[in-house]
Amino acid sequence: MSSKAANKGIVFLMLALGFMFSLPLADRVAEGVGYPDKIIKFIVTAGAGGGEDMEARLLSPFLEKYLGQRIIIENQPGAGGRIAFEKFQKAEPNGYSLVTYTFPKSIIMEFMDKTNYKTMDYVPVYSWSRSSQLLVVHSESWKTFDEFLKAAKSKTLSGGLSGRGSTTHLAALLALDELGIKVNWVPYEGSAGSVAALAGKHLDFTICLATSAVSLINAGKLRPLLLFSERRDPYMPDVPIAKDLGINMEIIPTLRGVEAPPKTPAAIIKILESAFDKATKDPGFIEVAKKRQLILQPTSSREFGRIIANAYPRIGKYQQMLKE
Amino acid sequence: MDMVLQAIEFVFQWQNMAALVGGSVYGIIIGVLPGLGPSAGMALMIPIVLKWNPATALIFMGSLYKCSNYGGSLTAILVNTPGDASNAATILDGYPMCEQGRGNVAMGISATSAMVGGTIGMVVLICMAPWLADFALKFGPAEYFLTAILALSIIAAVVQGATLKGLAAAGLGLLLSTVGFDVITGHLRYTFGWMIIEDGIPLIQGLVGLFAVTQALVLAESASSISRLSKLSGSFWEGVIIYFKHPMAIIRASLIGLVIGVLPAVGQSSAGLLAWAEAKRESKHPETFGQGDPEGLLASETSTNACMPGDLVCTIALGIPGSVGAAIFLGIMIIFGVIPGPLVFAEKADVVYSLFVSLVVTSFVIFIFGATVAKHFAVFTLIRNEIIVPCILVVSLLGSFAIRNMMPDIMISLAFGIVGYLMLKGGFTPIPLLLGLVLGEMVETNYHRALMISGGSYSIFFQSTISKVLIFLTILSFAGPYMGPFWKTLTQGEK
Amino acid sequence: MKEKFKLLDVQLKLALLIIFGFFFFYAIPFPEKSRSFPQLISVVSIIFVLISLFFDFTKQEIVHGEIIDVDDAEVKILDDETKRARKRRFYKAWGIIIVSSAVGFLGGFLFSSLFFFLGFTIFFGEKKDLVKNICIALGMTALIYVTFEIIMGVPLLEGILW
Repeated sequence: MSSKAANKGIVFLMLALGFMFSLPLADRVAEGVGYPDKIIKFIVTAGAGGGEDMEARLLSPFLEKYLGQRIIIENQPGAGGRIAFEKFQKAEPNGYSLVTYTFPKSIIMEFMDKTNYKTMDYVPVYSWSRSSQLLVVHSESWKTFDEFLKAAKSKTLSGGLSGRGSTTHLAALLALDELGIKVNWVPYEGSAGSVAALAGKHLDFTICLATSAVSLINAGKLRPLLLFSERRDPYMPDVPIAKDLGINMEIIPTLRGVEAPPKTPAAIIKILESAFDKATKDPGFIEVAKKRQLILQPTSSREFGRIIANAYPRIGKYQQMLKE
Repeated sequence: MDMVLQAIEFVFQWQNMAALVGGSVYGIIIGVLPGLGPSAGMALMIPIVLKWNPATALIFMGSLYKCSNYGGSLTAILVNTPGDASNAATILDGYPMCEQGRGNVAMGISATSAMVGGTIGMVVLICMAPWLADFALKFGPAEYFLTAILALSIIAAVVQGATLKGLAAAGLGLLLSTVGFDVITGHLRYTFGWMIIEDGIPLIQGLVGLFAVTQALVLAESASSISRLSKLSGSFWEGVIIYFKHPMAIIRASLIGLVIGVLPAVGQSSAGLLAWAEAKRESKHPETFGQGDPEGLLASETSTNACMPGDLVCTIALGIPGSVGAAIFLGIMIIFGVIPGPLVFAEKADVVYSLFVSLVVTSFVIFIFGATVAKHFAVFTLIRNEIIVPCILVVSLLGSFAIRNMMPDIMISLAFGIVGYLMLKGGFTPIPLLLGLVLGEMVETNYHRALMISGGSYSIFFQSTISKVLIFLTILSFAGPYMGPFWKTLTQGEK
Repeated sequence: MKEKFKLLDVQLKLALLIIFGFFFFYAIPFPEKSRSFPQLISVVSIIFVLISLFFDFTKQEIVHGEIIDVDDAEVKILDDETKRARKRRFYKAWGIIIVSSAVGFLGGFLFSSLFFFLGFTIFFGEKKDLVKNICIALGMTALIYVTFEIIMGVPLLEGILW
């Protein structure tokens, strides 16, 4: 390489480096004053298109209205969300980085393996919806839950599991523990696979989120037998809940909410909480939520925090079974 | 029939056509960038389309989804990098055509494939959706396992001239697919504490490395532009004419694409490769495949384009998405109150049929795009080396980065780049490795699931009719190449 | 016989044997269901590679060839001069890649792309095109910034430094 070219190369290298170092560094934000004054980032711990992601994207236009700032959604689904959670533990508590969260997903993971984050450290902001798990069978098999239970006690059925360490997994374990039945669990990643296998009669039953099976149920191919919840689902009023059938089952609901990094100042949390509350109660959002068959359950920051704290010991009981 | 006519009328209203064309262009752009798939594109547009009429919104998203595949094949042909795993087969004959300066012809073939494959696929879909859906449901874990094995054996044997090397590469791919979280037991395999591979070796990043980075290195080394000649020969319309000279190949490829597309989760990557392998087998001059034979290109392209309608079958008729893009599309349908399932044809027929019709129209839009815009893209193959190499590197590494926004993903791509480069130098083709990586999970998890359901009995793999057919086809694919010479020696011996 | 070991083909196959062995060995502590598939595939693949090596060592001629492109099944024979020039370019390319990636870790991917373009245009291009190339490089970087950071929200400026 001739020296002329080398010289030119060096000049441009210096220019580039100068460019790099002269860019203004990110500014730090004062506590609560003037918040929010720039773009807020939502980290969604699931892939684009899934339930969690959809809900975040549906809610964000309404949030933007009440916060007066743009919201950007970033998907960080790695390792079931664990990578995102661990990064989040060290995030800047300035309110510009929030994590949308399907409770109790991160807690379950803490019990399954050593993690570098603690859900207890996060500051809960708000929770807006809840989803419940459903026990589904093929419409050509058992017609009521009692029939199913009888069959399950007499032989080992094969059931679809929508993912280890997922909220569905936990619900399934809670159910079995109470009912005292043994099941041959066939693991799938996500509910689409297990629902499809059930529809093709390759499995005896599956437990999944209501929204995953809704189309096949409506089409008459699948039948829901039991809803794992404390009250009936308004979109599926005929499906009994455990209490109706006289079964005392431990229910840990699946809530979708948002959290802020550890040590986020209370002033910022208050602003966020109120914005979320208004957005969740916005008639426009309620309209959209209805179409998506979302059950809205506005939960304040304090309440959410309490639910999270309560969950720890309850989930802890199942730690051994989760690890299997 | 009424419904279809009404739908046609609806689609051609100006705002729907605008949505259609807009979605198409956007989809092509998204598809061209390696790594960035339709999922990101669709997700970004959700807030914007929320305010639209449901049918219009679905037309937009549907065109987006379909065109992203076409965009991916453009990159595959011009730069030897599949925009997405489903375009993998396209590089086999598409890129050599560009090297020979016949990029225009390749553009013609790919646009025509999109038009014809897409139309055939949609027409079959419109007529037979419920039956196809029922067929798909018959595939349980045992059948999926056998399908994956069949796909792997055909591909390993046919794509690489040296079968043993192909099988070894496929084996490596299969092993790499076991890295990470095991769905069956929950155990973490081969991760050595690295969180970034806990979900497994990320597919797109690996694909980008194996093909884009490798190709960039090869180009850098050779100091030439993509086209070895300094002028382009042939034309777009030449490609179109060549396409229509192979009706049997077109039909075969469409069928393969449609069937594979219908099975949820098999993935479109296999569709293109299987069609290519099949075309090579049936061809009178199999040696030219992989050297820029138009028949190879048209087979793989037609098949991938027929695949997407198949993908939609399960998504719309059953509510079971066949791929990540389909899952997002499903979510969008639900938001607009079009709940998928067998009832959707009765309740929301107007929306559904307008979607179908719009997809047929989209196929033609792609052709028009190809004839007007894409045919000029072949000039990319003439760009000088020092510009095209960083272009390829930056765009594809960016795509690789943008999936999880993690810089280490770029390291993964670069690592695969070295692997790909070494493979080439050593006489291995990377495609069986890619397929092993893609299909590995399907092979392993369904193997275990089937055994779990049967309680450990292997008979489950032989039970259904579908299983028996699959096993037969697999044996045929191994024995097939030897049957010809075998018969010859037999008959000669008798003389 | 020693000749054969110099072939990249053979070296790769030996490397594959080691890799497959590694997969097999590390699978031993896995639970049974997690273990069976990797071990099966490793064993089968090792057999394939061994058979292939057997053919390699019993073949009479040696073909020093390589596949030129990702999909080309032809094997071309190159002369030494070309090979040396190619090797030099290959290492240059890698140098640029490594520096650009390192820059990316520090300052974010936007700088990687800048360095990629500058690097290749400066070190691979003709001197007469230098100014034109650098303009293209800066232009492309700007275009990428606009498209990805602003329109798509991809974080191009996040790195260890800030």
